[in-house]
Amino acid sequence: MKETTQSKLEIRNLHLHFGKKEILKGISLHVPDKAITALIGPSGCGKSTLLRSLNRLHDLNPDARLKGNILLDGKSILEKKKDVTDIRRRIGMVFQKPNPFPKTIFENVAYGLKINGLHHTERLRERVEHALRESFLWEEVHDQLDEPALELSGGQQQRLCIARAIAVEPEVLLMDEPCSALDPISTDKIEHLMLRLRERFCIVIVTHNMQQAQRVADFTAFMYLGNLIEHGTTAEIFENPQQELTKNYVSGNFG
Amino acid sequence: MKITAQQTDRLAAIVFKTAGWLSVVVLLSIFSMLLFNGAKAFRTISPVDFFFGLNWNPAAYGQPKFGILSLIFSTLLVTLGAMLIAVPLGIGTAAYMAVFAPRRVYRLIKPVIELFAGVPSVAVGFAGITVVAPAIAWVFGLNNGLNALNGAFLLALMSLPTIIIVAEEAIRAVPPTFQEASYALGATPQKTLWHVTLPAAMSGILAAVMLGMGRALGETMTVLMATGNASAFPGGFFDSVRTMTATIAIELGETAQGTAHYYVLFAVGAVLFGISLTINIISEKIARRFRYKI
Repeated sequence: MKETTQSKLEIRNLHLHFGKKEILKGISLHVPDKAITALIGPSGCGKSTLLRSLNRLHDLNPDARLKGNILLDGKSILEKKKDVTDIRRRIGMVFQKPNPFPKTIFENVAYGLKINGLHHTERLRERVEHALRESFLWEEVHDQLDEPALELSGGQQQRLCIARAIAVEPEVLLMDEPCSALDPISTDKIEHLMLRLRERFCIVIVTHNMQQAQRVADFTAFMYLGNLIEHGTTAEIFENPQQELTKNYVSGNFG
Repeated sequence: MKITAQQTDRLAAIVFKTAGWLSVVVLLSIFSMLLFNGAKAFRTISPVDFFFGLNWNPAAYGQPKFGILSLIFSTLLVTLGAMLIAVPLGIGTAAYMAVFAPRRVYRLIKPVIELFAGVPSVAVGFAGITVVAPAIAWVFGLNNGLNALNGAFLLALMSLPTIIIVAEEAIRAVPPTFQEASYALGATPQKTLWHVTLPAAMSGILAAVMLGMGRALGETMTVLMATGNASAFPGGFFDSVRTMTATIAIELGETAQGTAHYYVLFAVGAVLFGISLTINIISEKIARRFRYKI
């Protein structure tokens, strides 16, 4: 495929074990920049696990062992001596359930900036406003920035988490079923937002919802039992899958 | 005769309601017993002398002194000193155990700390007299190590297990998704602990501190043994002190019932009770604020 030369993330023969159990069985995937790549597949296929490998969240689990390689702009991010905090700043993440900190709305967005060394009050305020505007949340919350974030609705909380993630200006945005806990209207807002953010970020989204993959994703990768079965443009995967397994899954025969 | 589900329900409700009210009644009776007996002291002693008097010398012939301030100050000195040592140490240990400790290390220190919670206070007092006090005397070049610092140190040791165990629970109760969100933004484990985990656990940590403080405030045997028991107004940590609890324990058994001295000890108990209650109410207020505000 032609994006091979300019892929933002490149996963090379990635194996992941939790203890003795092999969860990812040799995944290779090119993820292009300024596009949305969806990871689909039935529960337990390893798509969330793969996503969490991309910002090395498995480092927190002493039982997890990774083999193979992941390259960001052609440079490995898996080397032990590589600064993992810098990698995570460059590769942001939005989680399945909205998880704003039990702080104010402002502090939630400012947090990532502060821990990365920005303390100038005026600059902080600008960056927070900017991130909230980009997440379509500013109009709704600009007069309640000092209120607890946990008082927002679920959909607003998730958009706040997106604002928090993009405030530190990452290059890649990982989204782990970001709408699975939300109602259709909030989901629609977030999908709308993703299509806007695609212009600036490389986005990888894990989703259970095949309509969602078709609505937002440029590329789709189908996973099954820890293997990557097929990868292509979203149209190819849904309209003309090459593998029998993919065909069965996207036509809803199992899942 | 058959008992219906409705009847067992009603019975259970009555049993639990009784249990709940019983504890309230017991608590109120203890407090009113202290107040009632304590009030009798003021038939002969002026409240001004009691609450604002610096000297406690109730057995002095002819001119007994019933000033509670030296006792209150001794208690606060020892308790706050203990908290200055135990709070940072306890929270630090709890955070280490909940977040950083490898499983093997954790399995080693957790039971040791739990075991430590069960050491009898008289044994701690014994160690205070024979080990800690001489050490303090040696380090600071004093004649005698039986002073407020010794008491503070021992009470810190005694309240540490409580603080560690409760604070560790509080830190573990913080949803891991908060920590993941922080790590995913590029935060180091230290920054995550300091800016996310500890603030989120704050109400539980405050509860831990308050429980530890209650332990230190009410502890009797250890301070009775290890702080020198001088009832003069203390000038600092190197002076011998006598806390409110120790005073009651020492004097109540040797005082003739019905005398002013007898009743004034109840008044001391009531003041101690009031101090604990105030601390609890304040901490509850602070904890509630943290729960909703941060």
